[in-house]
Amino acid sequence: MKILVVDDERDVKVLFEQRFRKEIRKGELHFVFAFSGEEALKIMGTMDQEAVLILSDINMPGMSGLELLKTIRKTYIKPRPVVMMITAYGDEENRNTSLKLGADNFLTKPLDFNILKIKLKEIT
Amino acid sequence: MITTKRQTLQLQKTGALLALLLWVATASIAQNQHNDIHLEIQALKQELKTVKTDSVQARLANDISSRYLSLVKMDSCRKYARLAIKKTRNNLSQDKIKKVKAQALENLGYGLSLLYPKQGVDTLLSAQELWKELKNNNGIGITHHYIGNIFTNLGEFPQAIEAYKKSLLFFEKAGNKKYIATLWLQQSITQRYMGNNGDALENGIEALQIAREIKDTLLMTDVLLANGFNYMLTGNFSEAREVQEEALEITIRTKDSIGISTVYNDLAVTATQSGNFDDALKNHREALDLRKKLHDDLGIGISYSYIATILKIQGKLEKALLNARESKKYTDKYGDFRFMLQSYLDIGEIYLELGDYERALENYNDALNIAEEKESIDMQVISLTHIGEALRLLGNNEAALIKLYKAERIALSRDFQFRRDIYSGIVATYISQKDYKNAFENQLIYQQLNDSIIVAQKAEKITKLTQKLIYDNQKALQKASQDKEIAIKESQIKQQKLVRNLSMIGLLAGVVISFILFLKFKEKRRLNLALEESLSNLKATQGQLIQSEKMASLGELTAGIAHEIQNPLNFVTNFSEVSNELIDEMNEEIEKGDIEEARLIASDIKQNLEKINHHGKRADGIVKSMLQHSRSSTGKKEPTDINKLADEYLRLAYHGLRAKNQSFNAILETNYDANIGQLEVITQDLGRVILNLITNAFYACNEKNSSFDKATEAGYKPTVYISTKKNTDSIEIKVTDNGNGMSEAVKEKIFQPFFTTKPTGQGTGLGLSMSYDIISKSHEGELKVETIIGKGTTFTIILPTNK
Repeated sequence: MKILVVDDERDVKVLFEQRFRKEIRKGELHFVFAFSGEEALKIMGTMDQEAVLILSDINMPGMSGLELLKTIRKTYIKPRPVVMMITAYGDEENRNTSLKLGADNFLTKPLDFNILKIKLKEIT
Repeated sequence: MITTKRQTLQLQKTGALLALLLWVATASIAQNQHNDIHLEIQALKQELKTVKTDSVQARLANDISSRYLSLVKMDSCRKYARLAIKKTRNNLSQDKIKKVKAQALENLGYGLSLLYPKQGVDTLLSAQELWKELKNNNGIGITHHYIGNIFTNLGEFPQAIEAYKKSLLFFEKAGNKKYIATLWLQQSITQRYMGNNGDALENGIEALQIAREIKDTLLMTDVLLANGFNYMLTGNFSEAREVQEEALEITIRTKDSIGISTVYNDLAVTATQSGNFDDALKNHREALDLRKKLHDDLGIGISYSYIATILKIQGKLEKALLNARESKKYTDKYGDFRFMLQSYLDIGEIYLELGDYERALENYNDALNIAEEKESIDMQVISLTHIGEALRLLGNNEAALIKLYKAERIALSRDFQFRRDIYSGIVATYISQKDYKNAFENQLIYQQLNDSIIVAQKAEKITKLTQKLIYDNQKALQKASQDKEIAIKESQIKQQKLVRNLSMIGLLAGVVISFILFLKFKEKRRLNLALEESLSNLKATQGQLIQSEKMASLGELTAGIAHEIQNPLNFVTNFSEVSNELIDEMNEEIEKGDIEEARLIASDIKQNLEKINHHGKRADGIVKSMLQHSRSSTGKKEPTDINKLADEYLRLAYHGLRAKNQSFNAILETNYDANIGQLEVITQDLGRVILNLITNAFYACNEKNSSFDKATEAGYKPTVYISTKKNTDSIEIKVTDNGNGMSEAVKEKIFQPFFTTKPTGQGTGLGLSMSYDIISKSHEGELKVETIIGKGTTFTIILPTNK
């Protein structure tokens, strides 16, 4: 499964690569990283609808996670990518906006990778 | 020119005051002495009716006129002097009659001087002509002396000194030491009025030597008391006390009750001026007891007033009130409106201190009524200023402002000092209305007036010096052309009497002058206290405003800070969890014997630990900079990484705004010049400036964005650009936004305090003015702004690197 992780914090890449080292090695999960909304859209454009899951932070300079979600829902209708938004703790407003814009699921920072694994299993 | 005019006005005012003093002083000669003189007048009038010859009538009328003069009954003095002159007209060939005419002219001249000073001088000059014909040096000396007194009353002190010098010359020719000492004393007093305390003391010491030589106790008392004032005014309190105690000894020895009460009064004034209130009270009470025995109503009123004021300063308000009421009783009995008005103000002030603002207001209103009735502008202004204060304290700020502005209208042409005090009241009222904007604006006027006072004081000093120079020149010229005058023939009893009366007037004038000086001191003290209070209020307000500005910007940062701290903390959590799992995995690999894999995992763990450390430090840095921002500036310059500082605040401001307004976003562009390195700046202050500029930039973008939203969506990309650049001898920090820009009118005002374009409650209007101060004053740099309407704004901070 191809997963696009969007976050302006570059260390997220290191974290995911370590946390899912086994899965990556076995070829079960394939991660692609983007550090802004704009970059995410660029990558989406080259991925030929392969992306199954998009994990996006909301609070990013430039294009925010919400704007990215909005664009993705407009641009990629079939197959419809699963978009999971990463929200800050207690940020109900962004959660509701994400739902309206078509987010499939939520993760709260700091990421609980065990929960993420369960959610990934549900999707696959 | 303006200064000269002002100076003249002020001198005229002083002259009027002195005239009043002489009037009041003589009128307060103890009742028994009055009675003696009245009896003499009655007897003389009786005699006048019975005699027929013109020459005797002239002599008698002249004697009556002299006695009225000593009672300062000027109308009667003039009336009988004129009669005497009339009766001499047929016998002027006789020197004896000529002498009577000369004396009558002297009386008439002095009798005219309070109301018609110019006519007074002319009449005295006619008398002088006659004395010259009679070759009577004493007579010539006395006319010069009187002319000097008139000039002193007019406040034309250099001319007065000149006249005294001439007078002295003739008395020296006559060898009359008493006159000579009196003239030195008179000069000493006039020099004191001119503010030449050194000269005053020198002349006083000269007078004292002669008075001691001739053992004239009355004169010695006078001189000692005058010198006491000279010492006191120059701050030499122990010397002042010493001479006053000597005067006390003399007056007790000679059983001179009026003298004793005056000395106690002066001792008390000296004690007050040196801050020794207990001694002051003791001495005032001594003076009070004596004055009661002498039935000296004005003296009693004055003593009670002094006591009340000191008790008020000591915080014994109830007792102060009782004494102020007693004072009022006696000054009312005495009947001069100035003292009555002062009583109302005194009582009002005590009520104010007691917190009974209603009663304070009543008394101030009574004072105002008298001032209006007597058309005394100065007292109206003072009363209105007090009323304004009472109304403000009653919470009736609107009414307070009306009264204060009325005072300001009346005072418009008056002394700066009055107007400064009014503005102090206006500022205090606006502060109590929490209308800081108006308080600040009026504070500016207040400061301007204060500056004007300082300038005027300096100008006055220069004028005084110039006058002294002119006087010295004239003196030098005249000395060269002085005629040789004829020696004196005889001394005259009547003239001696008059001189004695003059001394008495001087003695009593001392009481009143000291009281007036005390009132001035008191008023000054009150004003100083009021000003200090108003100043400390303003300082507190300013402090609050700065703090509220800081807190407002901190508030904007809070969400940003939370976000900025949350991110590193997330990493700390996640990396430590992952590392924990990695250790388990590593152990598994070791058990399996795959050392290579275990090594790889170990190197990942090491990398994670570094990440944990990095993010921990990152959070730490944010907390520190937040604390630094909320703390008061140390004002100390320290080496600071400008790029790091700019970037830190950019992120904080950005996340702060995002947290407040979810729909807002902006593109952040940065271009930091790596060559900048570290610069000595006040980190917190510069941080505040950068934060302020960035917050404003975001605000501008947001404003434009919200107006764009519906019409042309996605047509506008809000962008904030921050860059740094190193120049030869300066560095530049630029903050640019592509918001709406500003009009010229707005651009002109942005650095003014309290100016804001933000809706009420959203900005203090202090951010940019404080930023401007920080850059231009604390860092000797520049804060520039360029703006194009519809395109955006760039703020540039330029900091010199060579300072």
